[in-house]
Amino acid sequence: MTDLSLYRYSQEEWDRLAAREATRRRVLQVVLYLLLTVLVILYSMPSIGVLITSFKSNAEISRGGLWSAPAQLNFANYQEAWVNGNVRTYALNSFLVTIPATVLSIALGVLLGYVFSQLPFRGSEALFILIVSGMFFPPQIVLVPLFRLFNTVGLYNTLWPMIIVHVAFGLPICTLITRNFFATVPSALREAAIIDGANEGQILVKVMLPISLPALAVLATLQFTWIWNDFLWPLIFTQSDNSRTIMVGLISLKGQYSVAWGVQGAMSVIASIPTLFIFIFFQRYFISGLTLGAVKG
Amino acid sequence: MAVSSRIQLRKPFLTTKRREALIFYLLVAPWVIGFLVFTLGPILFSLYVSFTQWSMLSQPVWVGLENYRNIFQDPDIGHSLGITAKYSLASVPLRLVVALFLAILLNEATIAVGLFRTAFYLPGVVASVSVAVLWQWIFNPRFGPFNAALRLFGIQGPSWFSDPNWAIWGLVIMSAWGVGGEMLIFLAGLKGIPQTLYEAAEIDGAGRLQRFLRITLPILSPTIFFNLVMSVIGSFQTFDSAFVISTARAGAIGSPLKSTLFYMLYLYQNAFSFLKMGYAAAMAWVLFIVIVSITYLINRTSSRWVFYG
Repeated sequence: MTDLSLYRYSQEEWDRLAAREATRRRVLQVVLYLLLTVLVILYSMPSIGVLITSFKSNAEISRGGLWSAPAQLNFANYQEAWVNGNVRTYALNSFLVTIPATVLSIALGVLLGYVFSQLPFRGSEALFILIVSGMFFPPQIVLVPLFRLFNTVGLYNTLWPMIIVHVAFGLPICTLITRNFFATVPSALREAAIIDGANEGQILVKVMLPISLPALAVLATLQFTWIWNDFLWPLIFTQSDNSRTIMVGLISLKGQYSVAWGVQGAMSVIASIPTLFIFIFFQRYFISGLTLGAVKG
Repeated sequence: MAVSSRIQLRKPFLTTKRREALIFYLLVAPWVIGFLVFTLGPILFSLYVSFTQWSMLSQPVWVGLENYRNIFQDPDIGHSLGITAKYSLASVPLRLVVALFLAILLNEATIAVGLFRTAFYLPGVVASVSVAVLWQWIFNPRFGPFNAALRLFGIQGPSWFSDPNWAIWGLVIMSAWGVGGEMLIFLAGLKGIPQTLYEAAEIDGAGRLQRFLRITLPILSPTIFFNLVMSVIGSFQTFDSAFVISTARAGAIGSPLKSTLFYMLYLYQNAFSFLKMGYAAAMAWVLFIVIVSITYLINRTSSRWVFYG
């Protein structure tokens, strides 16, 4: 059937309509990008402000305000924060917490994800739901008991409580993501490996892990960022300067440098570098992780 | 099957089934131990502590329901819960609208999408502590850019974080900066809407607004629901930003004048400043009940506005 309405317009009228539509679209595109650019500037301004301030001396700040460009790249603030402000220790502590906790939670998550996807068992589905429900578990409930527990076993004011807590509370999401990933692997792969004489350990390490690297990268980026940025647990579990992680250290230094804006800026920049680095280089994994069935906001 | 029964193989003790079961329990064991020691145990202990008076320096003393009774009479509880609710009511809609708006813009864009996405998402990666430090500068009444921008319109801005009437609104505005996560989730939802629907609607003469109201919003409603629930839960547990900002100028927790004394801050204060561990544990359970009830209520309304296609 032919659409008669197509014949209502002459060729010239058609061209004019098409041109008008094209112009309208172009205007909309210009407005869109203008809006996006303005918003990007708004969204980046705070970070850029901190970055430029971190290179300025106090005299320069009081002369030109926070937002004037620095006369030269002056690393004195960074040196002050790093050496005298003890940021060196805080950063080291943060790495000593974040790296083991990230690796451990993912390793355990892989083992759990493997058994739940490949060796399902009677009742394993219920157990799996129990594990994953831990993701929605409110941390404030266990604040007092865990504080008491780590005090009793003598781990208070060490880095251990943070590692343990992040492994325990990170396990649900690690299990969920690895299980869902392993579930997409055809079972023929495992059966073929069994026929070739591989045991479970070999299947996991030689068959499953190599193909699940993208999922592991997702987890590594998410876990690293969450653990590095965590504030509540180190605030509660540490007391002395030598066991503080960088987030808590930042707060304690803020008092000390309450009027030294440049040093504060430098500290904030240092504290953000590892997560920004991870984000910029692993952005692809990061984004797919966040939207993975919208598992965790 | 028939063949194997005639040959009569001697069954090994570790059959495939038993071996798999063994591996299963072996690999699940670490989680079970961790769950018992770091989750279930503490939950039960927390419940017990909430019925005691305990300074952590001596043994807990059983007081029955006294902590819960006190919670209902403590004016600071009502105050802090009110502040938290006010913050939630203001920040959650703001965050969702901003996130959805950014996601829609990104969804329309074709050039440099990655760049724009990174710029909007980046604030979400920066630690809340650094973010709080940063926004104190932005809201600095004298040389902060926020009030400078207001002055352009002839408005004399308030002194934000040092003004008890404005501190919480500063936090609300600040919360709209880190909506990258919600934005990405919205974006993924938008990408899942079939383009043909829009084309069909356009042929039928639907305008932009109509297409947004009749196609985008209904199809996106499960995503909106997810983001809504997550943001509400998150807002009721607000701690980092309020803690950092209120304690900044050697101020008390929740300063100025308790205007940012969020529920979690008051809980922290009870536990670790006043050493009222039993009271703090009871507060945690009350908050848990509040959050569960609100989530339940939102869920109840969802049948009216969430469409699972």
